[in-house]
Amino acid sequence: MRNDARILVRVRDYTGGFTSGSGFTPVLDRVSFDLRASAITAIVGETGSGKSLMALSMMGLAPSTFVRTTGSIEFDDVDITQFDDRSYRRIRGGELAMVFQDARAALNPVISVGAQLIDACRAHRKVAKAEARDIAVEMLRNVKVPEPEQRMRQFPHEFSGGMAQRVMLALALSCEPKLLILDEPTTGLDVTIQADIMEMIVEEVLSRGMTACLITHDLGVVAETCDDIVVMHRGAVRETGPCSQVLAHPTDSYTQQLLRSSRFEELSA
Amino acid sequence: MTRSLDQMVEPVGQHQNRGGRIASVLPIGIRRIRTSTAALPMGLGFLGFLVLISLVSVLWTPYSPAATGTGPVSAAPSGAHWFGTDSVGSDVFSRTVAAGRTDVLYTLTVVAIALLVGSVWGAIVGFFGGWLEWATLRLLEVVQAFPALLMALFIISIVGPGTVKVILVAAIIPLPDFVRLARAEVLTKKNWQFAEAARMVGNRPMVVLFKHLMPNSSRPLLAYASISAAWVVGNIAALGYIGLGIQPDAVEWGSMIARGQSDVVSGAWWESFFPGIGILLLAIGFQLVGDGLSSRNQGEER
Amino acid sequence: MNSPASDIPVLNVVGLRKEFRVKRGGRARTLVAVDSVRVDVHLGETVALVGESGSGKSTVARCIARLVEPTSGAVTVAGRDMAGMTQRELSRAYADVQMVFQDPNSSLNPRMPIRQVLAEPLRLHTNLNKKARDDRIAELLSLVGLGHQYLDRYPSQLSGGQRQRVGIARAIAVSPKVLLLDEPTASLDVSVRGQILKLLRDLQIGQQLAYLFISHDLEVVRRISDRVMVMYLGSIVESGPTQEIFARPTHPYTKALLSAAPHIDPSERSERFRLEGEVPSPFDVGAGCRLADRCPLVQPSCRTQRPSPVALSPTHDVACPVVLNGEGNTAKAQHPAAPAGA
Repeated sequence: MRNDARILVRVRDYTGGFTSGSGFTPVLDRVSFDLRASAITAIVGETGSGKSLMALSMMGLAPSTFVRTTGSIEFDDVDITQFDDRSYRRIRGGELAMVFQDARAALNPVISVGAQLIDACRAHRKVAKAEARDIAVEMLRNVKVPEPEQRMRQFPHEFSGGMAQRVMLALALSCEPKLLILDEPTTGLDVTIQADIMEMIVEEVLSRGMTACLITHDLGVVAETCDDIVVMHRGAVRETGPCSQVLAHPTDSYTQQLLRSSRFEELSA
Repeated sequence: MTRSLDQMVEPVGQHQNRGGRIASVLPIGIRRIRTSTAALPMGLGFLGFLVLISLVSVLWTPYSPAATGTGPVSAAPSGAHWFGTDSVGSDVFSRTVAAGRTDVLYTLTVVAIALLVGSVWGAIVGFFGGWLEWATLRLLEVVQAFPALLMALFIISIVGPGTVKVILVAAIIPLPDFVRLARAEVLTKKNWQFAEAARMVGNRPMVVLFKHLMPNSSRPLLAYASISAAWVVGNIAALGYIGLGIQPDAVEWGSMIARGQSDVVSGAWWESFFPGIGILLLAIGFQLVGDGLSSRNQGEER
Repeated sequence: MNSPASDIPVLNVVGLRKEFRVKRGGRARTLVAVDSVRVDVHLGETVALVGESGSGKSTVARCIARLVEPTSGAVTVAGRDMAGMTQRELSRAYADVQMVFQDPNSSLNPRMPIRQVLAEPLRLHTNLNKKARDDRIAELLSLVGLGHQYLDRYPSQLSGGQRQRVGIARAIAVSPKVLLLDEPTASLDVSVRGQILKLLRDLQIGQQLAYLFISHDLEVVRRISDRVMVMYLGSIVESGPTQEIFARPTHPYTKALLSAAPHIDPSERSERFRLEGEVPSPFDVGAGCRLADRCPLVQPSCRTQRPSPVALSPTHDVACPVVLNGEGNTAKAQHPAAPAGA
C-alpha cells in the first residue's frame, strides 16, 4: 500500500508572496513536488522555508495578504488553485483535512469537545444527532482518548496538549478525507507524548489508506515515520525523494547541511 | 515551554475600558473611522486645531473674554460677533476660544496626574503584590462603586471650591483605571524573560520595574490616557456646568453652557451651543488619538 | 569529556524544595514543583537537568537564581549561601552566577540597543570607566562571534541566533563562575543550534565555567553534558555520568524517555519502553512514587513509599527499588506489553 505509484497531489511551480503597504515580498519560489497516494510525505524546513504556507495553500487557507503569482496545485487531477472559497469549503473535511500545531488554540474554547465533533460529523454526513454522538464517542475511542463519554462534555482547555491533539486528529479524520495535512502536530509536546501521537497518526493513516503530508522541522520524526521527503529552504524546494534515500545520500548542499546540523556534527569538529 | 509555573499561578489583572462607552453609540460610519488607520491623524488633527486656536487666543481675541457690553446683549452670530453675544454682552467667540485654553489645560493636568500617580501605584502593587495589592484592589473597588460625578460632587462639597481642588478631585475619577491597567501590564510582563534577565544582570527590583518594565508598557498606558482624557473633558465640563469648584462665571465651557442655558429657551442658542461643540471636538479628538494608538499597539503585538 | 577543575563544587544545591500555593476550585491546594533536589556542579563541568513539562527543571534553575524564592533548601554559589541574602547582596552575587534564557525573542528588552544590553552588567558590577567598558563590550562581541555593527541595533533587528549570542555575551560579561542555561537552543533552528552549542562549549573551556544545562532534548544533552540528572514531577529519578545514563538507562522513566526520542539513524533506535497515560496533575501527588500510575513495573509498595535515590554505582543513582531489586523482569512478564506500533 505504501508503494502506490499514483499521485494524489501535484504541486507545480507554485510561486507567490505577501502584499503589504510596502510592496510585494516573494515567499514561495517555483515550488514543485508530488504527494504519492497512500504515502506519508514530509515537508521539511526551518523557519522561513515556506513549508507552513505551502500547507495552508494546499488547503486554500493561505492568508488574504498572500498572492499566488503562478503555478498550480492539482488535487486528484483537479486544479484547486482556481477554486473560490465556496468550492474549497466543499472539499475541506471530506477530501482534505488539516491538523494544526497548537490543538488547544485551534479548537473553539467555548464549545464542548463533543459538540465540535458532532458538528463536524453532521456537516458532512446526514446523520441524526444521537447517531452523530455515538460516532463522536467512537472517534475519541479510536484516537485512544480514555473515558470518551466523559471527555465529550469537557472543553478544550481541560485537555492536555497531547489529548487535544488527539481530538484534533479525530476531528480531521471524522469525514474520511483522502488527504491529511499535519502542520507540526507534535512540536511543543513532550517527547513521550510525541512518540505516542506520531505512532497513532501513522496507524490511522495506514489503516485507512490515506495520503498524509507532514510538515515538520524534526528529521528524526521524518526518518521514523515518512515515506517521501521534500526539503524546503527560503521558499524553494531543494530536494525531494524517498526518505531512505535522501536521508542516507543527500545530493543537495542545504539538505546535507541540515543533516549535519541534526547530527550535531558541528560539535565533533 | 516559555511560561513558568509562576505564571500559571498568578492571576491576571482585569481592566475596564470606560472610555469606550461614548463611541459605541455612534453610527457605523463613524465607527469605521475609529478602526481605520485614519483615526490617529484625524484625532491629532482635531486636537491640533483646538490647541492652535487656544494658543492664538493667548495672543489675540476679537474682544476681551471678560469684557461685558462689547455689543448688543444676546445678539445672534454676525460679522462683528462670529458666535454672537451672551446675556451680558460678552463676545461668545472670544469666550469660547479662551475657555478652550482652560479646558484643555485642566484636562491635560488631570490626565497627567491620574496617569503618573496611577501608573506608579499600579506598577508597584502589581510587581510586589502582597497585602498592598490586596488593600489597593479593595480601595479601588470602593471608589469605583460610586457614580463618578456624584462622588466628585460629594468630595468637593466637603473640601470646598478652588481650581487645584477641582483638578485633584477630577483626577480621582480616572485614577482607578490607570492603577488597574498598570498593574495588569506589570503582572503580564514581569515574568517575561527580559524582566528576569534585567534582575539577573544585577538591577535592584525597583530598577527592573521602572527602568525595564514600565517603558515597555508606555504605549498601552498612553493610549488609554488619551481615551480617558475624552471622559475627563466631559467630567470637567460637568463640574463647571453645575458650578461646583469652578466659579459659575469662569471662562470655561461647562460654565458657559450653564450660563447660556436659560437663554436657549428664548431662542439665543449660540451661547451654549459653541462651548458644547468645543467639548465635543475635544472629546472626539482625544478618543480618536487613543483609538489610533491602541490599533497601532495591537498591530505591533501581533 | 571534561574533567572538573577542582573537587569543590562551585554550585551546590541540597534539599531544594519549592511549593506553590494555588486556589483551585475554591480550595487552597499545594503544588510541589521541586522536591528534595540535590545538584552540584564543578568548574569546567556541565551537568544537565533533563525532563519533560512539569518536571520542575526550570523551577530549579529559577530557585537557584532566586528569581523564584525556594520554599526550603540550601543553595551555595562559590561558597556563598544564596538563600539568606538580602536583595542587595543578591544583586552583587549575580556577578558569580548568571542565566542564559530560552527565548531569545523575549529575553532582551526590546527598547534597548545591544550596546546598552552589554553595558548594563558592566556598569552594575564593575568600576570600569567608559573606555574600559567599551573595550570589554567589543571583546564580548568578538567572543560570541558578532561583529561590532550590531552594537547600535535593536533586538528586533537581529535573528534568533544572533539574539541568543547577545544573551550569552550578557551572561558572561562580568566573568561569572556558574551559568544556568535554561533550554538555550530550544527556540532556535537546527542549523543555528550547533553553532550556539559549540560557542557555549568553547566558552566553557576558555573560562572554566560551570554549566547547569536544562533541556528536554536528549540529543543535545548527550553531546554536551558530563553528567545527567533526570527529573520527573519535581524529583530526580536518576543521575549519573552521561555516557552511563545513555548506555544503561535504569529508571523506568529514563528508559521511557530515551526510547521515545526519534532518531535519524536506525542504529540508534531502540524498542519503546512505554508508560501508560500522560503526566498527571502535579497537585495532590500521592504518598508513593510519582510514576506509579503510569509505570509498567509498578508494585504495590510503589504506591505507599517514596523511593529515594540509591547508588547503583559510586556515580550513578537511581530512585526505583523495583529495578534495583531486579524485580523489574518478573514484573514485566506479569504486565502484558503494550501493543506494538504500526
